[in-house]
Amino acid sequence: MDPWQTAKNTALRKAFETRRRLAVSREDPVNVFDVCAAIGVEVRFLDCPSLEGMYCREPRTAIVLPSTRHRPPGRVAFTCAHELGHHELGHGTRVDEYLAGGTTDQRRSPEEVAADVFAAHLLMPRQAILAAAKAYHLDIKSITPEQTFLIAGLFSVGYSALLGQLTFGLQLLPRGRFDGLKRHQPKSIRSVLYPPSAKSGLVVFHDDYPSATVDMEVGDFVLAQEAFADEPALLTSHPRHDEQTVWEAACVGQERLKLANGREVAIRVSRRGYVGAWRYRFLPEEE
Amino acid sequence: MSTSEKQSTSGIGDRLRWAREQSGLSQGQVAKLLDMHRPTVSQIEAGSRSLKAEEVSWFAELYDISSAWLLQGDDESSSSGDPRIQLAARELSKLSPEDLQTLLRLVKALRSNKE
Repeated sequence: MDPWQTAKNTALRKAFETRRRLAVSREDPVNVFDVCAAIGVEVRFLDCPSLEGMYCREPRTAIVLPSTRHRPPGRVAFTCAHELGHHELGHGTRVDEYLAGGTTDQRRSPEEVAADVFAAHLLMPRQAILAAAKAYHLDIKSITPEQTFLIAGLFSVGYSALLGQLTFGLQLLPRGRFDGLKRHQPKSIRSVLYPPSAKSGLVVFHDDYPSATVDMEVGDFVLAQEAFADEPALLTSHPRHDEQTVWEAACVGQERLKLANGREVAIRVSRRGYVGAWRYRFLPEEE
Repeated sequence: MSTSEKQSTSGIGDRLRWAREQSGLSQGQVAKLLDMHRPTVSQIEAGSRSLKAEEVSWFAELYDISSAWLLQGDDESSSSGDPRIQLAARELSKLSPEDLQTLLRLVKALRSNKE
């Protein structure tokens, strides 16, 4: 077996082992920053536009990521999972640079390929993807750009990361379909779903799919099928749109929201483009 | 206070400000978390108020930064010459000089796993 395939197999096992260790079912989404906190890996966001990500073993076990000023939140989350892969797979300190999707394995080290496989299967395992598709009553082979965006949102990953996992990681999506879907931009999709969100983030809650803790930034919009049972403290209400309730993240903090069907979701709101340690990301500002 | 002591205090103040900003905290948040008055935090960072030894430990713990780095600065840090970090950083062709400096400074400043 070639070294890349061996590295992939090891990474796949390690991703499932990490989920098992944290008692997270393979059907449920996870919040990668909560995973890092549970494992004891510090995460920091830096105002460094040219940084893709760094895993540091010494002097302290830490992951350093660019702020969302410089990368979309979904991509930062996937990079965090990639760096966590380096930690869980016992790799040394390393600084990663972004390689566009489609780069062949042989152009990258087995360790980099393994970290990507770990990240993809930690965040988007097959059972969780199938459960999400079932909740949306969709057939992955004929998934639309909007549906791809919505499913990516359930896993807090970027549109491209989900497409890559559906096509190359899980072989659920034909290559021709992948090429067609890749041509769509998340910004344009957000414009279709809720036009004011074109320049911010958009979170869409699904009543029948369990959310991991949802991280958002002040100014992001939230769509839900029904109104929340109680008035949210961190969100302000907007007029309904396309038979959905609309909210905007207005202040920094954390709270639990009860959906109309009784299910609870935890949300956390940070400043836009937060720079700092993850553990202070949702700490409300002092007056 | 002698000139050298003032410079030293001012150096600590600058490092404390940088460490606070890299931690994502405002002076008001730090004051609340450490049960201090906000002007006290401001004076410490400005170098116009001296620091007690125990306060250095409090700040170091709050920012997850090495006490030695706070006291002695970049050049005295235990990891400043870590060849693995330097090598990894050199390998990164896309990292700008400014970002490389910020990244290496943070790595040098972090509290060690053993602290």
